[in-house]
Parts: sequence; structure tokens; C-alpha cells
Amino acid sequence: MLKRLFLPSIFLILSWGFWISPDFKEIAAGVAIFLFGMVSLEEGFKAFSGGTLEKVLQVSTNRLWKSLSFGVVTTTLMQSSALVSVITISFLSAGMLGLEQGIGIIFGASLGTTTGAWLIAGLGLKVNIAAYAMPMLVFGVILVFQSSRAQKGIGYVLGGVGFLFLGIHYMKEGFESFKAAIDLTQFAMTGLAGLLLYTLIGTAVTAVIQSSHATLVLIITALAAGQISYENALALAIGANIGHTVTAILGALNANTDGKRLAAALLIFSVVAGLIAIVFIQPFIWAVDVVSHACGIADDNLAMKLAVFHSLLNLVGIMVMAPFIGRLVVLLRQWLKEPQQSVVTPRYLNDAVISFPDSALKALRQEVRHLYANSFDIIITVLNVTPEQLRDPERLSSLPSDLAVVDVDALYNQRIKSLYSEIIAFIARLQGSTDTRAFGEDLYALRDACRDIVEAVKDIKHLQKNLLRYLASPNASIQKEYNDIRRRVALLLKDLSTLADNPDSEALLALDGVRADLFADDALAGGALDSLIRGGHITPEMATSLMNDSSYAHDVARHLINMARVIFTPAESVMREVRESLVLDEQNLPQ
Amino acid sequence: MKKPSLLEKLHRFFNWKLKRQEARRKQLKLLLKKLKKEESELKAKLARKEEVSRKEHMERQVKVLHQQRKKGIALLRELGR
Repeated sequence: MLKRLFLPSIFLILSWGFWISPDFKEIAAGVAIFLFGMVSLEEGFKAFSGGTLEKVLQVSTNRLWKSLSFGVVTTTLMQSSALVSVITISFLSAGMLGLEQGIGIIFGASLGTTTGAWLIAGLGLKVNIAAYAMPMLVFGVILVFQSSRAQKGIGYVLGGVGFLFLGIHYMKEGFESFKAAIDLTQFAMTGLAGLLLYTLIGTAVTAVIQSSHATLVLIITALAAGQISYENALALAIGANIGHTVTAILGALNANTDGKRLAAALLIFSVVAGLIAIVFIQPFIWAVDVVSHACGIADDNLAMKLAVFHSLLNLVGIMVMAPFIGRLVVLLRQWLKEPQQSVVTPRYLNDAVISFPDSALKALRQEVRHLYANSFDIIITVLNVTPEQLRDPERLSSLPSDLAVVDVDALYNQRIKSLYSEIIAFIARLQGSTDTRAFGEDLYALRDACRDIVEAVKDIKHLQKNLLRYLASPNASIQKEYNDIRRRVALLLKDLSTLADNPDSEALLALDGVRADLFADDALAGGALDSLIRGGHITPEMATSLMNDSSYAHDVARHLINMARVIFTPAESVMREVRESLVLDEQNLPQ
Repeated sequence: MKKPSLLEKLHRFFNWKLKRQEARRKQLKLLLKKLKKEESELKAKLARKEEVSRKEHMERQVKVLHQQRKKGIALLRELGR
């Protein structure tokens, strides 16, 4: 109910504000344009994140200082800690980044985002940036309409920066004329009460507009126009720093447990940094003066001093929190426990990764492996083979011939169907939301791998009927043939498990060996079946069953090998390409 | 041998297609060496009559490796060397 009333209430309050004050309208329009610029900037960077950013992320986060610097540098470049947080959460969800590294990046991002305040205070207020905004917008929009992905990306970035500048311009103008009408400084409060109240206001405003950048621009422009006191501006900046965690918390709602832990770490970081700043506000003001003096910032340039304060606040936060990241991770793991991992729900798919093709593809790959793990369990249950027996070739050659009746349909519905549907739905969403041309083939290959897994389970269901019947048969010949079929499928699973444990490019070629063994072991090969019938060892009815079931076993193997080619080998690279070119065709395969 | 001109050097440096082909060729050469080593090791094992129970399997693996190498050598010729 409250949720439904929230948006209309905001609209009503804003409309009332626009009615009574044209200056407020200008400031609000400035914030809106600024936020739209941020959205556009993020959209632009997403176009370039198809690979490069993700690759850099993986190699540059193995040490704490590296992940911290990574957070600082990328956020400085992209001017969006939200985008960096989303990428970090998506990597965590896909299991490609540890929580420690994730926390390092997100702490670094908090410092990186403060460079925005420097840019606004340094450039935004001195230069008539609206003059730069107009050409940027024109060039940006022209580029957005181009078909090339890169040109579109540049267009969005240019347009985004243009809108940011334009937004700052409107806010500045609004506050300038506002100054003439109302003097906000009469509401200025001093002392601890003022500090706490303005911190709360800063937190609330940032939580509503979900951008610490926008709040900081408001603070800086209001401060430059003399509408708020310097002390209150500092408190508002502390509040903005705490409020910007709301974006990360909202992003983490859909993420897995590690994503939620990351958001909690950011909240703790911001609150701790905020509390330190509130308690030690006087030493902070002194430190800001010292740094500003060293940087050559004039004493009356309060906007730049606010930017210095914002950076110091986060720097102190990092210095205090960084030594405790290990302990923080332990605590967060205790507070936010991993729910019992379900075999039926997706473990890696997360809508946060959809905007990042590379991460989405990696998460999808992991999920297909999860689907295979479920099908593997079903197949070994039907074959009545334990994982220990699979690891030992000696035990595989002398499997006991008793089988239990397994309801494959029930297991399929329980462990495969819903997960399969989720994967297919994710692929459809992925195709609908991003430009999939660059990795379309990989996407189709993964979808086909899922279909192969499902087909293999269906084939094993058909095979089960006669396996149960003939393994319990008094006829030793047919029992041996069916045990051979069972052993062949088990051997294939063993080979695939070895490949799954050591996924590399060599797996592609090693699969040829597996295929060759499979062909050669076929009961129908080499006239074995004819001699069994001629010798009167099996009846013609048994022979037809054996032919059908041998073909089912062959299909299981074919489907699983096709699947393994996709999910147990690394994604596109020169190494894979070269190995792929040596994979043998059916006719080249030694029989 | 004539030294390549600066223009040729620059062309080579910025030609990504050529670079990729060069990388493929290098990878292929390395892979062929590896396959040859694997094949000769398996052959040696067969000659020493080790793992008699898996003789057929090993013979098949030798054939597979041989076929893969044959395919690789043909591809290497296509790539230029």
C-alpha cells in the first residue's frame, strides 16, 4: 500500500514545489538532467565492458592493494561507483571473484567516486560548462543513432557527459536565483545537533535520488551560492556517503549471499567512516585546511575544500577498515549464512549480470555445468554406480549386476526441468536485453549443450527398462552384453569427470579418444551380435532389444560428448581455435 | 636476406589478422610437438607390452593421435610453413 502511494506522493510534492517556485523547478530539472546523464554514461560504458573490463578485473584483484586501486581507477574513469558495484556483484554471483577482493574493489570505488566532487568543484563551477555541453550532446546523439556498437557506446558516453554538464549548469543557475528569493542560511544549524541533522538529510536525499554524485553537486552548488554553511555542507557530504550505499543494497537484493555480504560491508564501511568524521569533525576540518593549503586551494574556495573533505573521509575509512577486511569477511559469513544450496534453483544466474555479456556468458556456463552435475547424479543412480566406483577402473570392470528401480521421470521433473527452464529463460532475457551478436554462437552452443544434457537423461530413461530386465536375466550372455552397455556409459562418465576436473583446451582433442573407444566397444560392431544369435546364446527378441538399447547408449554418449565440447573447454581463444581445427570427423575416427 | 622496410615493419605491427595467423601457427606447432610426444610415448609403452589389458584402447589412442597430427600438418602447410 505504502509502496503504491510513494510515487504519486513524490509527483504531487514535486508539482507543488514547481508551482510555488520556478527556481526549485530549475534545480530539480538540473538534478533530473544530471541523473539522466549518469544513466547515459553507464549505458555507454556497458557497451565497452564486453570483455576488457572483466578481463582486467580478474587479473588485477589478487592482492588487496590491487583490488583497492582497481576500484579507485575504474570508478575515477567511469565516474560511477554504481556501475563498478554492479560489475563486482555480478562477478561475485558468478563465483569468479572472492568476497575479500570484492570488498577491496568496492572500498576503492568509494574513494574513486570522490573524484567526481573534485571535477564538479574544480571545473563545473568556474567554467561555463553549458557551452561544452551543447556540442557534446549533439555529437553524442548523432553517434547513438549509428549501427556500430562502439560508436553507440561513445555516443552514450558523450551524451552522458553533456547531460551531466547541463544538469550542473541548471542547478547552478537555480541556486543563484534562489539566493535572491530565499536565504537558506537562516536554517543553518551549528553544533552536534546540526551535524547530526544535516547528516540525516544528506543520507535521506541520496537514498531517494540514489546518486551521491547528484547530492554532492547539489551541496557544492548550494555552498558556492552561499545557501548553506560550510559546516552543514560537510555534514551533508557525510550523509551522502552513507546514503549512496542504498544503490548497492538495492542491487544486492537480487544477488546471491556474497552479493548481500558485499552490500553489508559497504554499509558498515560508510557508517564507520561517517561516525569517525562526526566524532572527529574538528581534526577533519583542520586536515582539510592543511591539504587544501598544500594543494594551493584558496581559503575561501569552500567548494574545493568540500571535495577535499569528501576524499579524506573515504581515505580515512579505507585506512581504518582495510586491515580488518579478513575479520569483516568472517563476521559477514557468520551474520549472513549461505542458504542450503538447492539443486533445482539456479546458483549462478543473476539478472545483475545480464548487462555484461562476458560475465553473463560465464555465469551461464557455470549454470550449465550445474545442470550437467544434476544429470550426472541421475545417470549414475540409474546405472547403480557410485562415484567411488567411477574413480576406480578395476571396480568398474566388475560391477555387481543388481539394479534398483529408479523413477527417472520424477528425478527429471525435480532436478532438471525447472533448472533447464530457468536457463532457457535467462538466455531469452539475455538476447532481449543486450546486443548478442558478438557472442551469439557461444550462446547457441550453451543452449544446445543444455538440450544434449536433457536428451541424455531421456535416453537413459529408455535404456533403464531393459537394463533392469536383462541384468536380472538368467541368460549369462545377454546379462554380460547389458552389463557391457552399462560399463561403457559409466566409463564415459568417468572420462568426462576427468575432463571436468581439468578443463583446458586439450580436452577438446582428448574427447576424440573417448569417441573412438565408444565406437569400438559397440556391441554391434565387429559382428558380435550375429555370432551371439547364430550360436543360440540370445533370442532374436533379445537381439532387437540389444540393438535398440545399444543405440540409446550411443545416443547418451553422443549427447554428453557434444555437451562436454562446449562446457569443459575454455571459451574462445587462439588455443581453442587451433585445437578445434584438429578435432576428427566421424569418418576419420579410428574404428 | 633483405631487411624489411619501416613501412613493412609498421604494416606487420598493425596487421591484427596477420598477428592472429602467426599466433595460430605458433600454437599449432606447439600442439603438433605435444601430440607427437604423446604418440611416441604410447607406442613405446605398447612395444614394452605394458598395461596389456588396455592394449586395444592404447592402440586406438595412437591411431587417433596420428590422425589428429595428420590433420594438423595439413593445416600448418595451409598456414604457410
